[in-house]
Amino acid sequence: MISLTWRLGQSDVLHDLTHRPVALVSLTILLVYGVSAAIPGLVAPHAVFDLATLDFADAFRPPAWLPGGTWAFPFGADDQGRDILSAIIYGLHISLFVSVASVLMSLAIGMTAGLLAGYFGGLIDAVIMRAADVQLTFPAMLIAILIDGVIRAAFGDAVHEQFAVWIMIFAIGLSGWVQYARTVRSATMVEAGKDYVQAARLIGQPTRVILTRHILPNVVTPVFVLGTVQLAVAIILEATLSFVGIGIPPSEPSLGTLIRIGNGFLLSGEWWLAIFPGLALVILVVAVNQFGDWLGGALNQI
Amino acid sequence: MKGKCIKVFCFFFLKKKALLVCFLCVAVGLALHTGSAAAKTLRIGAQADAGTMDPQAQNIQTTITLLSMIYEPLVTRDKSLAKAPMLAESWSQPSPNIWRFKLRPNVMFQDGAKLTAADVVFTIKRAQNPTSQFASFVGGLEPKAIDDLTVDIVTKRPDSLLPDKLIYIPIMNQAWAQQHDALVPQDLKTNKESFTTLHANGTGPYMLTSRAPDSKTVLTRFPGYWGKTDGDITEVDFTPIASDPTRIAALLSGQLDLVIDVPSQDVARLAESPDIKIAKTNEFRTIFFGFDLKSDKLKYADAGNKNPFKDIRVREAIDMAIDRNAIVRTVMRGLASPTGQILAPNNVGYDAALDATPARNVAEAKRLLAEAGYPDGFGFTMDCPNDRYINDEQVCKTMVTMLSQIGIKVTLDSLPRAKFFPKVWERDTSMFMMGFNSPYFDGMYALETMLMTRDDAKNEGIYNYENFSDPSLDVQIRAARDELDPAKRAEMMKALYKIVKDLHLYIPLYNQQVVYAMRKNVETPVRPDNWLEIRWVTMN
Repeated sequence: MISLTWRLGQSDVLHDLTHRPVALVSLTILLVYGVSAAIPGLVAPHAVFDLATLDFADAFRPPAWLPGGTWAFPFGADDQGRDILSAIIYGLHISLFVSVASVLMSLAIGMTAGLLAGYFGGLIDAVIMRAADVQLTFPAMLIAILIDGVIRAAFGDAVHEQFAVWIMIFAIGLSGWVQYARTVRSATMVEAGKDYVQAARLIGQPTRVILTRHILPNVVTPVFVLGTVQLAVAIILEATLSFVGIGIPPSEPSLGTLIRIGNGFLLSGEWWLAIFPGLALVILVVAVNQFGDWLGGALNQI
Repeated sequence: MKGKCIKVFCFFFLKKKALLVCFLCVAVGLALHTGSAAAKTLRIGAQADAGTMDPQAQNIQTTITLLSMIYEPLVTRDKSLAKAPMLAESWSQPSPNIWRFKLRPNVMFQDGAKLTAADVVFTIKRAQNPTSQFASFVGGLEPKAIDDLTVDIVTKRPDSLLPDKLIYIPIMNQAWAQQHDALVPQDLKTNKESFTTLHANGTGPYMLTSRAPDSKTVLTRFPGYWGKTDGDITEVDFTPIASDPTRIAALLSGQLDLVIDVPSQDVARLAESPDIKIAKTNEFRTIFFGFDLKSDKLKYADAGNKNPFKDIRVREAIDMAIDRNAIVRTVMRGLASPTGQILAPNNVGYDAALDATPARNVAEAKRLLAEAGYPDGFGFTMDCPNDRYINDEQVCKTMVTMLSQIGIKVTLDSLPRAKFFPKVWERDTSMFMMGFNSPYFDGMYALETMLMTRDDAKNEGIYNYENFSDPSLDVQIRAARDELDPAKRAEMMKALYKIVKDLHLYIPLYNQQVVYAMRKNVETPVRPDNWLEIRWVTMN
């Protein structure tokens, strides 16, 4: 981690960034998204989930530039008279929270598994990596649906709805750890044979310290790049699950839920209910991927 | 689809210069095409499936409609909705308590058995079982076979509506039911399957050839059908598609021929499509909300140890919080009319004066709530179906928004009909959405089933999901039911519906319109009870 911060601080990385317009634009978009998602209450023009503030006179108001539209509702309003832009910002809050938290969860599980497997080898390695192989044969979507379904069956719909966000994080997080485990394992195997690790062993450092203080900082760079790419995957997975209706409930909609709700009006002319949340999602995923792409390249150069 | 396929194939083969293969391909394609032109398949799409193939197990119009293609009752309705003979050629009332039905001779069931009076007696008794959802139609009847083709039905008291009620009792074959251990209707409340869940044997124009619940049901023409149909449709495919846009897209892309529950928001667009036509009529169905009016502590709520709905001021406040015109304008796109009572026009006992609705008044509603002891409102869970009525879930969401504006916080529990109806049947609800039509266009049905104290044995209050009970109202409803003078009876019912309105026992929203969308080559009348009569559907 220290070396990574140090490398990022190096002027050649920053220099590289300022000379890559795509990366720069992606970073700007991510910053705007990140800030809006972090403080939706301050950024969004309307408090859309305070139902008492809604007015049915605004229902199905078209985007501002169309006849009947107003700049109070730049992207129009939905069937309840909710501002679409504000709904997107609140939706981003949920979507990004779920995807970032689930990536962090995958990262924690995957790195631990990868470190243990790579350092100890033998039976531990075999068990962890076969588990990873088995998990790889199931698509992430299927695992997420399975976890969601089991929790729903075990605790009932009411509990499920109450903890929907946490269940989504758990489901997506648990389905994505394999990539990290594999990356960290191979890097750990390389590092474990190096002299500095041998030296640490010789002076009697405990295994825990060797793993966290010596090996971990040196295997974390590829994980960081992988995490960015996986973030895009998690965003899409969350949106897909919410779109098919097993993810985040409509009472606190994520981007996927918003698209699902809007989908019902796609054929009837109120296209803005689905298109704008969809666009927001596409732009977010493209920006994350472009940024991750650049980050991978930039970190490998040094 | 087929044409496109041929083109792609030909292009592919021409590139390979294998012209002969291409010609072969076209020839096969054409042969297949002409082969399918002779058969006429009507593909019907709906938002949900029939819950069973048992004709006495589920009183939901989708189920009744689908089963009416396979089964037939003694009496039916003609295109003017007047009663008309079906399996009974004629009927008479030899004495006030006896109805005599003369059966049509030479009617065959689809398994080859002949219809006899014993089948009619068996079916009526079967429908009286506790697992039947049509028990209220035949409660207390004593059917007797006089000869092979004559049935006498003795009623406990003079019942002028008996032939109307029998429209909902399709006749089954006794021997078939005995053979397959289907002597009682399937019990939908316990989710137990029986032979009749997936099998049917009626006298109707179509036979059940394959059934995959919630996915597809295929009916084919019964060659031995006694009657005539307006069209010459050889096969009926019934496909439930829960998602509104998917169902409409399937119609637009030619995968469906007829959709019987068009979402309001898509009607305008469909009407513009050159391949599609729209047919609609005012349905005899009112959409309203009901409360738990019995529990001393409301079950799904945080309102202290009380049941706020027992206070008329709370119910009135809710009535006032609703902007019916806004719901009709936005969610229903004008395809409904706001109403202040639970009975739709054209029913006996309907009083137009009761249709007036209170104007939305948030301040007054808040004042009433405060007066009732809820100055900060309260919270509760509302149950709604999401695949039963037109835009049901959306209407409920709108209700949640409107009630939040007077300080009542509603949690919406929207359920598919297969979960919703058992839940309200168990009276396991605090507030629920409901749509109701009187099967025989008479206001007594709703009074009897939704307002009388529940007594399943007497078939009173069976749909009284509110558990409402007022013995003095029961007495008045019974008096109206037993009144033989039609004019006086109608007046008595009007007075009763005024009480229902004044006490806000239910919160009526609107009378909906039934809208069918079909491809241009399909033609069918639209009945106000939303009963698709397959015998009237034609295809060119």
